[in-house]
Amino acid sequence: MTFALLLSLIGLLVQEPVPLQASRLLEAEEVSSATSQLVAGVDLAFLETGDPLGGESGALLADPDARGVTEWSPRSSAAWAPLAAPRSVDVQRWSERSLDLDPATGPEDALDDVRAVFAAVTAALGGPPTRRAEISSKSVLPAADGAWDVRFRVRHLRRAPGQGAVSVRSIWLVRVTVGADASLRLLGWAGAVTERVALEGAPAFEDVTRTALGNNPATQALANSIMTLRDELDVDVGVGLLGHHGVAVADVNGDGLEDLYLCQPGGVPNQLWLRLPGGQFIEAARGGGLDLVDATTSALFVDLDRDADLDVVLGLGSGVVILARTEEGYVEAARFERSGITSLAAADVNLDGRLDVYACAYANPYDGSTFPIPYHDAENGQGNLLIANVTEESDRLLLGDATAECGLDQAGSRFSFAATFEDFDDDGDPDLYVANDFGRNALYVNNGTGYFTNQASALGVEDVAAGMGAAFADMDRDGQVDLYVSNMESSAGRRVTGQQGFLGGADEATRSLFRRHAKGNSLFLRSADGGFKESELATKGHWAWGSIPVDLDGNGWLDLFVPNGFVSAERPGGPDL
Amino acid sequence: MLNESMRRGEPWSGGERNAAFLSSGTASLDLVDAGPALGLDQPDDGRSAARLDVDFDGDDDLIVTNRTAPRLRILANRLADGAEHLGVRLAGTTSNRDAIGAVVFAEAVGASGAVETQRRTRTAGSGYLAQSSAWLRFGFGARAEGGRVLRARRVKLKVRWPGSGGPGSGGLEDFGEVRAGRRYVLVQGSGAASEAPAPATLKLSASPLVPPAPGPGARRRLVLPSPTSIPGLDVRARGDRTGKIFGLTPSGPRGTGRNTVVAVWDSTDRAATAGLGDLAALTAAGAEASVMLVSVDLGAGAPVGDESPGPGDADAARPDPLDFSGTRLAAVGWGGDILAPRGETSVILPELVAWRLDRSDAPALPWFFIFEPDGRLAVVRTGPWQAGDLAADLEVFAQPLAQRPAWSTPYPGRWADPPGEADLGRLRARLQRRGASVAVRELELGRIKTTSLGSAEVKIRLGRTALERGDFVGALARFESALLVESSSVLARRGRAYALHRLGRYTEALEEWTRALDLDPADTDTLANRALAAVAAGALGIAREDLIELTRREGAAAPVVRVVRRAVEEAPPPGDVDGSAGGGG
Repeated sequence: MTFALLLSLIGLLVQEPVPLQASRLLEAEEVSSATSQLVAGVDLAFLETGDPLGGESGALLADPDARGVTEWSPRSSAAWAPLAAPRSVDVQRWSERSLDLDPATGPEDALDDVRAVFAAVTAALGGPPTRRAEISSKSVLPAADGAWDVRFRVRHLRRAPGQGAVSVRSIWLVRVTVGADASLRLLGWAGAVTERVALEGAPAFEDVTRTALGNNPATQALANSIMTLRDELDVDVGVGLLGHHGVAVADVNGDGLEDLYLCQPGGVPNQLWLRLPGGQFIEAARGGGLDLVDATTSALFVDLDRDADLDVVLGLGSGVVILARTEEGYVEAARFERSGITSLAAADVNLDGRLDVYACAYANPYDGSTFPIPYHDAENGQGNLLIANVTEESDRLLLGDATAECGLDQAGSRFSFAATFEDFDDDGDPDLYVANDFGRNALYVNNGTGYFTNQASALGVEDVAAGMGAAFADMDRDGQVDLYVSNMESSAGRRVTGQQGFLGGADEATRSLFRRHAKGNSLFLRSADGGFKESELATKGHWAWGSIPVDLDGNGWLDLFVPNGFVSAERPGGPDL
Repeated sequence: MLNESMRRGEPWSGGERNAAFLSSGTASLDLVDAGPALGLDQPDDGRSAARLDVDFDGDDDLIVTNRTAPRLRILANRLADGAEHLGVRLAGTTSNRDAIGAVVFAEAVGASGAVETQRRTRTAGSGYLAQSSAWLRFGFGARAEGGRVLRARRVKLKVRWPGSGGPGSGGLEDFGEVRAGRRYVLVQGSGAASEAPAPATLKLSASPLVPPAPGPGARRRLVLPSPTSIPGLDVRARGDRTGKIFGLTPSGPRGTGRNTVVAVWDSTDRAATAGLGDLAALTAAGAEASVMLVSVDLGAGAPVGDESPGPGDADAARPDPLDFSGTRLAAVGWGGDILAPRGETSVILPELVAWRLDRSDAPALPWFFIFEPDGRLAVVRTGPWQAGDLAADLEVFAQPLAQRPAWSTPYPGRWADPPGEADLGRLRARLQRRGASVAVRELELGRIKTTSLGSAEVKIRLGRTALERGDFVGALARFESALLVESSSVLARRGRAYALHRLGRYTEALEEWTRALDLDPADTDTLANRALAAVAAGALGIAREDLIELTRREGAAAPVVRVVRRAVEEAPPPGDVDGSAGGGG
């Protein structure tokens, strides 16, 4: 027997990623409602008043000595606004028991099974899905008697006005046999709800960028995608294909309000959004000499010369450029040439009161100039930099490359995306974790004098994978810091690397390293013995970059926000790798 | 290869939704991806994330940068609105002033006497490409105890400053007790927390940045940060006049002596003239500024390799397509030259556009190339011409060359490290893939990039000079040192082969010509030279095969074929040369 109707359903589901048909229309509704919201009225009042200071915006870079951290004038003597009603996210999970497949006796029976699963999903959602249904993964495994089990993990979202949001995960199983003529025969359906996450009331997070920054040439540049900018500018202007441009939060003008510095691709000047006392943002990079047009990946605002203002370290395609904050604004003080600077991190590695800087340098494998070999454990990248700070006088920065002197040339020729300092072993000095693409990460343990030894292997945090971000934080509140590393999670990758035939000639150890490469993010919990123990939690973060620990719901427990995705299609449609 | 796919705009793990793993808030840690329910599930190509309390309500909001549009999202946190927060900022005195590396322990004392400790570290650089807020935030939720909601909870603050040893060593500075719901600054050594009142809370309404809708027609204007030479363009005018415009010579680029606009279009496309835009305005503006105007009609060209001139030759009855081209252009007010591409020109032009856009293929016609008087390409435009465009480009030409990078982007700013010369190597690779071997050779010969005396180009140049004066030994040494720098240089291979040949080292020359041929199989001169070397080395099998190939390519009457044939015919029979008449495989 062949069930034509059901097979057409399979045909629909097999294309991945696929929103189910009905939800596609709903996505369109979502877009149009967002657009009308924009037209309806955004509070842009403060932008229409023009420049609040009535002059060159660079004048906002006030003399830092006049306004110390503790002396800025209070605008509100009270604590934060009265607290709203407490909100909580309701999470329910069901263990994934093996699905009992009830063999279908005919088309009606099979349809009933589908309806039963969908009814369970709808009940969990509290109504039909209003936003979307997406398949998050699927797998095809052999079952008994030559049949195949196709499993889909589906996520439904319902967000009705005033009713909050509910997302429901379910697992769907389809068992089929493949006939000699390659025709599919359906044996039955089964499915179950595995997770329900619900939040009452207003949206938990809202994108307020346009309200905060306004509509002006600077924000128009931010509204454009990297591909659009590449289409507008000559190739040599330097809009890189992959869009690695970071952000720094710092009180740049020393008025007690933290400002925002946005690193930009080549041809678009970096942006400094200063905070005015009323909370308005104003773009003032030019006045401060921070409007670099060079492609910039990262920025760190730190006081390198101990004069109570913030100097800045910039990561460019051509190297690390350090600008000293002087009375005349930001002035270039030092430059360390090295191609492909990615993340920067600062700490006082030798505890002399002066901040030193670590810079990751990534040899780009995507332009064909450096191909990582071997892919899963490559050491043919380039060395990172430890820039030691020996400055004696204000505004006269003295900096030098001390990578080797600090022992940081050990395991140092990899493809590094991220680095972060933390005194993970609580001995009073900063240690350093470096996340590397195509291979093992490093945990450099400081001996107290600024000399580091890589102990990642002994401490259990080598995490051989595509490391792209790293952050320490006490996730389990045991008083010791844990470590979260962003990696690459790909259901397609897992599917490939899990096949028996994959890397048939390689040994099992190599195969398992490849599998690990596509496993996803890693959470390492510090254990009582001083090492780290890998947790199974929070791994499925897709192709993840700058994951950060942050207490999203204010309950004192840190959560993890994971920005992800490598390269989206310029235009919808077409296959994904 | 993967990069090529991304250049075409194809996805690779794209459209992935951001994740937000929410902690269960229990001692047995559990994390659930609550992204969709929380509105933290954007399908952007997310990159960097940082914490910042953007609306001054005490909780951490998120700043996220993306590769896709919009490239920035400020995500205001409404989830933690009901919770009570404590903000702490540190100031180092003996430690570094930013207190980076300092750890704050906050112990909340509940009504029941239970103590809960939170630990936060002041970092600079965490996550990916990100520096987060200097304010460390502690959350205390919103809990009821004994029937009433707890507010302004008592919290004990302790700080471990960088360098002050582990907790066991007594290195913690005690800042006493503060109240949640407020913000404090802790100065190292002061022992007292000073309250820093928060600014008034802001109400920021939801409104993301929206990318502008794409305009009609794909109008682009690419201003090169550094004008570049291009290979010469073979063209044909009416009346069967042919010639070459632009190009590279060993002494520099070849120009027209005036600013020149080359408009490229296709007269066989019926909608083409409408798509060209306001050519009358271009003609008028060009005449006023004495700018040379040239049109190249890709529809009037012969296919590559078919160099039979169009009219007046074998097929006199066929009308010159340039007549049609001229009629159509005249109808839209064009007053410039009317040309058709010859030779490799119709291959070179689209590759020039694609090269400057860093795309696999050029966008739709028309294209406009604007040149310096000296023949270097300065601006590339695509899409319909508009009145005023030429004035905008002439403004660029009026700037000193050093200012050009500033004009290469509409967004004003300051370059720390301005872009250098255009990478002709990439153009060469593109043209090589398309089989434009004449242009490739021109790029190799004329490339004037002598920044390094150790470069292969300079060594090849020296080798050629030695050849010209008959110093084959010196030339051989130079070509060999060029090959040490760049073993894949076809020019150095040919030079070495030629020098060996002239020195009478025929077997080595034969090998070297073969290597050169592997690098550029289309080059007929190399093939002919190999045949001659094969004859001299006694490898007649190779020579005969090469002769067959040469005849196939050039025809039996071509001079080069005649020369090789005579050499093969006059060669001594194989028996005279012991055993060296190998097969041609």
